[in-house]
Amino acid sequence: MKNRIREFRKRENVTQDELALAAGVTRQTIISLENGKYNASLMLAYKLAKYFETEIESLFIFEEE
Amino acid sequence: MNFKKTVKLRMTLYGVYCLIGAAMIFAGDKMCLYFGIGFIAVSLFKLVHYAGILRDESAMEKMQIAENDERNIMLCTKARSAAFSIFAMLSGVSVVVLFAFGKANMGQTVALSLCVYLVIYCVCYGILAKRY
Repeated sequence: MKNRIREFRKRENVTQDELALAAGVTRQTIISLENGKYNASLMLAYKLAKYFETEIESLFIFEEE
Repeated sequence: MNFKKTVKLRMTLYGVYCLIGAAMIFAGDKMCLYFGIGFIAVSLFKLVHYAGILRDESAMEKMQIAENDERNIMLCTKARSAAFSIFAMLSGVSVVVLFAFGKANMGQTVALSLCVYLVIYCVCYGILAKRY
């Protein structure tokens, strides 16, 4: 699963700390998400999509292995 | 339950551990003394840490986020699972080694504890399977 969190975050000029606080996770989780090391749960995906006022599909890109 | 209450509950628990540690120091032998000192040291450290957290709202919020962080929970679950697998594997090997070196009693104890561990795992799996 790829994501465009870093792209959205930079576009909105938001720091990893601010995003982490808004989503109720640690900064390390945001770093892992941006680096593609960790896949967000459905709940976190919704929270992030809501924060960026977009759909989950545009924030997360599903790739069949 | 809000997080402040959780922290206070934990402080109460560590207070009880402190008392248990003190009881061990006064009631037991040399081994109990060392355990008692350890209990008290860890409990006091935790009590001071939580007291500091209670006074600082932002630190408490950070701690709450860190404890409920889904990646952190995932890491804990994976670490626990790995620890269980390694423990089971090492126990199996040590049973064979203990029997090979004629320590049958110790081997039986380790084998029994491994069996108990596996039974607890099966029971927990059954309960969770019914719930979810």
